[in-house]
Amino acid sequence: MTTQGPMALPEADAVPSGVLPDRRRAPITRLLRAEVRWIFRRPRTLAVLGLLAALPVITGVAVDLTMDGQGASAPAGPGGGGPGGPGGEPPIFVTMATSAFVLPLGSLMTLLMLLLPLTVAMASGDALAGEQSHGAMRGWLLAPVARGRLLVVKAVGVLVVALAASALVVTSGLVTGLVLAGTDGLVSMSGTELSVADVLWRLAIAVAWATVYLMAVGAVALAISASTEHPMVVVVSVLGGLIVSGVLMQISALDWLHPYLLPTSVTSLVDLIRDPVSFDGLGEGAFRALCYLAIGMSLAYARITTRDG
Amino acid sequence: MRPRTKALVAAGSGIAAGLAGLALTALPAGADDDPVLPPIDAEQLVTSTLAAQPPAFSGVAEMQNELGLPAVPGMEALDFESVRVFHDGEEGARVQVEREASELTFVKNTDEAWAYDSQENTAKRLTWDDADAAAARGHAEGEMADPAQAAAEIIERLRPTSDIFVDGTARVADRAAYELVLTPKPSEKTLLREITVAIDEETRVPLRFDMFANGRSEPVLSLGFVEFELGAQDAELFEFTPPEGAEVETTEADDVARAAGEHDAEGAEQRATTVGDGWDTVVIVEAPAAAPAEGSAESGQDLAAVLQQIGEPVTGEFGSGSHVQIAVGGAVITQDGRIAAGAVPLQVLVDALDQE
Amino acid sequence: MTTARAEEAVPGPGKGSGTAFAARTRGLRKVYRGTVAVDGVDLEVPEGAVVGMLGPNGSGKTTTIRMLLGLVQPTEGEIELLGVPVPGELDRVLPHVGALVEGPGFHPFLSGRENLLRFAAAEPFLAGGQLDGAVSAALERVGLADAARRKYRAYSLGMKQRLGLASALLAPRRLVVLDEPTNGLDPAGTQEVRRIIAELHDNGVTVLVSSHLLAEVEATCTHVVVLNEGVVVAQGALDDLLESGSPTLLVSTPDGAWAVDTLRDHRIPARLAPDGVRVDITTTAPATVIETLVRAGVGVDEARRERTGLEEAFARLTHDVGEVVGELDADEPAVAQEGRAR
Repeated sequence: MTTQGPMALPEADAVPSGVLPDRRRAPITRLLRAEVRWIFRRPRTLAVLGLLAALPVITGVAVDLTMDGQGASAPAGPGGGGPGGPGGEPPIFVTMATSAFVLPLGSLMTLLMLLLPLTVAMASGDALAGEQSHGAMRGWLLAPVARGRLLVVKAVGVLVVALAASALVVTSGLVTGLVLAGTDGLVSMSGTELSVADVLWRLAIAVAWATVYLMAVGAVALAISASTEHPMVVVVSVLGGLIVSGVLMQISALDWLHPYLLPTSVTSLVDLIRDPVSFDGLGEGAFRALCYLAIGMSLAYARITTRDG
Repeated sequence: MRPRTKALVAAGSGIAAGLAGLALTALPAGADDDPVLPPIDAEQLVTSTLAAQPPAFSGVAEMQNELGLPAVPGMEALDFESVRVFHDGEEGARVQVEREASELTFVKNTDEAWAYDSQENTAKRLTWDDADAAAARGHAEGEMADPAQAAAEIIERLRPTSDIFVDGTARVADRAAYELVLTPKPSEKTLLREITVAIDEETRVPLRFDMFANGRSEPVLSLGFVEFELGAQDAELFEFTPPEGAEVETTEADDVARAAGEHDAEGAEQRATTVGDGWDTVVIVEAPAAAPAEGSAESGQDLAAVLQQIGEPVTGEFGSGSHVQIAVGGAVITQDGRIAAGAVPLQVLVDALDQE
Repeated sequence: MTTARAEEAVPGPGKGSGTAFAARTRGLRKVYRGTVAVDGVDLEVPEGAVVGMLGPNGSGKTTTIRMLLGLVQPTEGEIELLGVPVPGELDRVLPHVGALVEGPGFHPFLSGRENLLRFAAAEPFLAGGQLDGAVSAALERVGLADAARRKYRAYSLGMKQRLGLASALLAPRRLVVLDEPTNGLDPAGTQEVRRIIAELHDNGVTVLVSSHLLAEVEATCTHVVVLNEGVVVAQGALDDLLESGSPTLLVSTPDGAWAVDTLRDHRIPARLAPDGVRVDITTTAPATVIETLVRAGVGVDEARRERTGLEEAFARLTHDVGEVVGELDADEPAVAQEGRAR
């Protein structure tokens, strides 16, 4: 490069710009692959995913045993005051609790209340705050990966976790249901028998919807993650947010506030058990999630671009 | 500094867009101006409404209930989130009363009707020999949840004692509608102030039903479509096969008619009497001590007991009893086991009991 | 390596002499919440040189390096890296800059090799097929080939530091910036780092290395920048600085005490040392010193300019400046902390 003339001139502009090769960026697919590999090599991620896969099995087996204990005469309809799943007695658990349709959906809905959002919060916490706390963020910035691009890679990583976690819960529930009840009890809440293909289609929608919902949580968590270097702060903040939302949702005097609260949407997953499926609630929930996604990602972007590396 | 400015702009616009979106979901879409429709008088509107054949449509109805009903067993049916209604324009109808985690499904077609409760996993089936729509309509639960039929019948019943007029227009479920208003004639001693029915301009389907009580600006009961879409419906919607394991109970329409006849014979004429007419009608019935007509005797007695507990004591020539008041009316349960109820103040109930 | 080669083996730092700079700053200033960490730094890193950035902890070395690499926004001032303005064209420059800043940053649950593969994936000038090879070469270069598959958490401090060095050397570089690279290394490791720096230098790569250890800088660098309390107190070629940093005349005389008195009477700073009288010739010509002594009748056996170690120069520079700028009341540990928090 030195043949290119005097750099000692005080004017920076006088430096010829042909000295360095043109700009080049590492292909984003390569970055994404590295990110995903990193996520799934982390023991913590694997432990939580394992737990998520186990819970529908435990629920299914526990309900199955309880129902057997109630007497073999009423396998599908235990009528009044039934056994109920752990932590509450929603009727869908009572009537078709171990079916390959209700078990995956019910598990997904239950876990969406707390455990799945926390899983995503953990992934978001590790994505930025975790890298920062290990000093590994500098490695990316110096490579260089532009900060906006880094945020995209990290967000996709969180998205993969959200998708994997929801799919795992539903698949585990589906398999458990098939083992316990075969293809019996594939019934909608409106009393129609559903074909296996129909059930799979509905479960796929549930997974997609849950992923969008969790990604909204993830975006907010990423914004927090970009502002701290302690991954636990991210998880605790999300937990706090969920608890506060839960309390606010119990106060009917604040019902004007409820549409602004993300967890308001979760119950609309029940609509997938109705026939025909009503997409109003799910659509509104997805839209609400996208609003949160926009807010979370822009905050995260603002923070990551102004933050010192 | 430039990156800082850029980041602030990005954050600002992203947050603004997100909040605007949230506000959009929070605000009801009722800000539209009332539509301009050709004028029509009440007579024409009611007639055309009663004459109109319901079109094929699907819709979602919601209810706002400020009646202040006491928590009483047997009233859970009113505790729902929304109702989905499907109609094929002919005999087929489907109504789904959606509750938080269960559903009541009513399906009616040319030769049978079903009522399925997913909470209990029970299905009730009603059949009849010929396609007698009236018999199916007698299926009260399904009918009450369908605003189209409910409103039409109420209009019909109240015409003699009410002022009926068209009071402008409204937009309901994004459709242009006339507002038909019924108010009691001044002579009526009722707690009700007015009843408003929004009738779709195009199809004459009642889209919303609002009930107003004296001294309140908001409706005490509002049942109306929030979504309404015309169009042919999937024929499968009007077929029902109970799921495996469901408890099925089948009834013939003739049996129902016979039972209803017996009920009418001794119930309406012997046990139930009415005092007055129109808005201030008071119905007096014997407390259903031995009437296993619909529910069990037990629940009837429970109801009377509960009402007696929550009511306020009242005495008169008839003896003594207790008075339960809700937003649009009330009931007196007497010591000797009679119940007088109506959309009227306490004094009218007492007078009716005294007259009897 | 890229085609980068210095025109001269050791280009002089002279201003306007046609020398190219791998890094240069003008009026660089960084204020962290009211604390001035770096102030008015005009840094010049000549192409092909090995520049040692010397200064006590909290002198602004790390902050300056972080600004050079775009990790921190300067409060004021201009930066030029490999001829282009920074942070404006940072993404164009950084692929050609290797850096180890503030210690190694890796994840404990991955092996050394897996950690490097992550960052290799982000190197713009490495093709997909080259990643494995580049990682192996970098590990080989820092002597970690045998430990490549062990978990990072099991590494010793020195191994971690060397892995950090390896990540700075993943791709061909034109400038390598090393912040305290010998931290935590045993003497053998230190030697290894020196060897790597020498190798880079031989290949025409410019190296900027910060250290608070003088011996380190003296052993490896062609140029030195001395920072103290955020201000450059000296910079230039190592040899020049050694010269200018020791303006002392050592006079052998039979009567040292008399000589000192005489010189002080003439306002020439001098002190008695075991090997003779040391005379500060910063403001006085050596000839004047001799003349003064001879005129006063003090016998002079021998007089020579003394070339002291950089250590003395460094201590003197930072100490003197510390006194001169004493009013700043610099809170050194606080500045250091601020500099390290992001």
